[in-house]
Amino acid sequence: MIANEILKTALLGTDKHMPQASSLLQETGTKLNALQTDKEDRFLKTAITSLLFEEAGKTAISVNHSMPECEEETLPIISEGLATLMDLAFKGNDEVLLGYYLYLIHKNKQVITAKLIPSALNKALENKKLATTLVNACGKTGEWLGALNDNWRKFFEKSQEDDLWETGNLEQRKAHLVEVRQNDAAKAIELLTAIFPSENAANRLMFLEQLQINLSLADEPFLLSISKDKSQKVKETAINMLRTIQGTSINRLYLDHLLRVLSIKEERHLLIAKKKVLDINKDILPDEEIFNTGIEKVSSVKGVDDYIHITGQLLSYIDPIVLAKQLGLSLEELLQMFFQHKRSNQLIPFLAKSAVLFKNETWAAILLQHHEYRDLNLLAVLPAQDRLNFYQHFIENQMQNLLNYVLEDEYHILPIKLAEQLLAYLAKNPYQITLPTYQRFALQLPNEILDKLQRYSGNPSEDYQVRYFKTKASEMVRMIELRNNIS
Amino acid sequence: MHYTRDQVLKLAPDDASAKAGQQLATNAKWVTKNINSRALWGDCQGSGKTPYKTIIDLENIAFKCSCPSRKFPCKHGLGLMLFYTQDPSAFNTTAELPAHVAEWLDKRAEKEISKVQKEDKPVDELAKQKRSAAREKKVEAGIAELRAWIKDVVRGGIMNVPQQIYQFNQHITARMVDAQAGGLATQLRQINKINFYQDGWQRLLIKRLSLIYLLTEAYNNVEKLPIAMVKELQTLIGWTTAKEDVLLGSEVNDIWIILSITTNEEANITTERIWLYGKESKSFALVLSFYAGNQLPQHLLFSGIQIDAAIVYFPGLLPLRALIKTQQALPQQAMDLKASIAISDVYELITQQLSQNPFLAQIPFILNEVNIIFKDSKWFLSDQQQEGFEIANPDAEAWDMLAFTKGKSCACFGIYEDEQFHLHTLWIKDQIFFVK
Repeated sequence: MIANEILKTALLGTDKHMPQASSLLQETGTKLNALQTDKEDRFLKTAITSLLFEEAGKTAISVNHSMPECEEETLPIISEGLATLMDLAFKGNDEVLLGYYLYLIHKNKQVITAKLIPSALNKALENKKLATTLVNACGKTGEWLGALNDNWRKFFEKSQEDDLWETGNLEQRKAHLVEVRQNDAAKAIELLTAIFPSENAANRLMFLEQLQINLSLADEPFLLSISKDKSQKVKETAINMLRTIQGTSINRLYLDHLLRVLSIKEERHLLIAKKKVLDINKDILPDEEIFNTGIEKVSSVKGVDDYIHITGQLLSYIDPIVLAKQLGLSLEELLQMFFQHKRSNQLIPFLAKSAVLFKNETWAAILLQHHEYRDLNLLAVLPAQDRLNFYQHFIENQMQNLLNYVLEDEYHILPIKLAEQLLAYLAKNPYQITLPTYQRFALQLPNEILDKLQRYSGNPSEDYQVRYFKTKASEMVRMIELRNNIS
Repeated sequence: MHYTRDQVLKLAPDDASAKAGQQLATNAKWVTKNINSRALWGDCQGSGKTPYKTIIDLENIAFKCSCPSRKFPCKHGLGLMLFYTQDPSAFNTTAELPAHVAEWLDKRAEKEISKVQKEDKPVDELAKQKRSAAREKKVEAGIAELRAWIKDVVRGGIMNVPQQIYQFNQHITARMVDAQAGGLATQLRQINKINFYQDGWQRLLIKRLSLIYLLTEAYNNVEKLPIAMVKELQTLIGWTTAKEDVLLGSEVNDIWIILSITTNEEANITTERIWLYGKESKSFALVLSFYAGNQLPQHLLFSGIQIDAAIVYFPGLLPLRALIKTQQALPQQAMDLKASIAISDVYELITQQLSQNPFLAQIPFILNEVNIIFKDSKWFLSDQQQEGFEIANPDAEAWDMLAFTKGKSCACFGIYEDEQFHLHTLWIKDQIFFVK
């Protein structure tokens, strides 16, 4: 190669080395060597003629490789307008809007344009929460492109599931376990039984937590087998699961004790009418065995007797349906009796816990209607539409937690009255939520609120707090307009 | 005003401005918004009491805003323009201009006139010749010094250059600026673009040095060279041809397609390269513009549009650099360009052009029916005969290109520069992808 000689001289310097004339450039070489100039001049001229000669003589290389063409998309592709907005959201790292666009794409069963796919897959690498929807939005083109890229390939690998369980990374193994658990709960137990002793404590705990999916009585033997695990956290998690599964030995222990202490009695009311009341027998002591399962023996709350504290704890692990059936009452009747009990204030928080744990809509709806028993967690039990009636009760004291329920994945538009209440609160307490939450909130605000928002954004007051909310109000207007433009 | 959202966003000085502009493209932000054939203007309610007054000159694109932003155009200008593309019906069409808008537009028109008058001033030929002779003397002295410096470098060898790259060419570059040989200074600055951490720097450095030496050698022998080559050399050394002199040259009337627009910033100077291709003449043209600081492009050309234009090339061998003399935008059309389908033709083109002009920095090309190939972690462009070349675009751009083509054949526009191939634009039927 001509260049090698030139480079050698260039590196060492003409004082130490001069290039040999190339056989390919003999004529030019002879002419240059004949020049009556210094060696540097001759070298520089030789160098440029040789390098240009080599460059000008280059030919195409054999690529000898063809790539498979990507399959056509089966789903429709998003509009150019939405594609531009998505591109901006990717560039601006605007995750609120990105989440909304992805929701629309998923809802309309569409896929993104090919140009957006690299940005989407890169985003999926950094944002695990959005990863699945991003990957799904990439369609066939994403799958094709992902197979070629070492970083993106993992999103599309469906290969040998057993291999994945044994050789995949932690995230892949977790995802695999979740999938198996959803489709075949017993198979998941089989998988866990095989690997449990060889995993570290953190992995054991993470895998065990996935059993919450389709948790049933069939899991009892496995959970019992690990209830003496070396790791305290694993042990506690296993025991906690055993406590919540109806029919396990631990849970039966709880139920048996409750059935011994709880009884329905008839009381005369005003000497004529008879009334059924719930009685809790404080003289019947629980088996010592119960206290080995994590139940506290002594109440640490002032004014709460130990027997009430123990009964309450046990109640929280019993499905309301099971208890009502055992006592021969309807769900409503049973709860009503607890309400009428003289210690109802102390017991109801445990019943609320039970309603949340066993997703009992009847109890949740009744409890939420009583302001003294209202627990925000009960909202999770109710369908989204039914929750709306209760949101207003939590605005004043639990706004931030309430927004976790208000801002739901389906972007349902809020009723105007509720929207106004929420807005009025935020206008008074504008620092309670961050800008992304304001933006996210705006995507669920009804169009009728625009006038009100514009009034907020046009508020001439120079008060710092008002000015702060003004900018948030105009941002919310922009988000609503953007939403309206897309649809 | 017929701009698309994408085109307006391309005017944004950075991504943050584009995002902020988008946030202002809403009815709620604009207290007033008006349009007529000359301008678009509105009052934007910011965080202060007084709204910002934003004006856009639509005849000769320019922005004005009363906000304190140093960005140009500011988010208000972008927001107003974006809002118009989104919802023109929200704007009030009026024939009358408010005083502040009329005043600004008139001032701009006055400036234009005084610029022309300034250009029309008679030139003192004698003084001009004197200046030219003095400059030539300075340049010759500078060239002599440059040749001596290059010889010193090769005498001692370039092995240690990477250790002292920042000082290596600093003094001689400054000397070329003093010697009024700005072109040579630019050539020397190219050395700083070499990646000295990557193998292959040796070849690039010695090639650059020997090419500059060849340039000085050619300049010292101009009397033996054809006039076109002399013009080429003068430009490379640093003599500029006045815009009005260029415009006196012969026009090439054609339908020109804007193949790509790229910008890069160096020392607060933004260099914009607009690559055009004549549909009939089948020739390329490069419109080169330089903007200092916050200057804004004074044209409304966007990648992909087609214009019926008369262009005039700067004098030189294999001329590429050109000025647009007159232009008229045409409706959006598919980029249907007949071009070679063999990669070997590009190599042939390189051979031909380098043999005519060894100083050629960029060689544009168009190819049809080619494929983007990813093989062994490298990117290639391949023709149907499976012949190809390696693509020098960064990895992220290459993935974008592959996503666009989906493994199918496409047409492309690219540039050969510094022995590397950079793809700028790809298209398949009516779908275009601007890589740069």
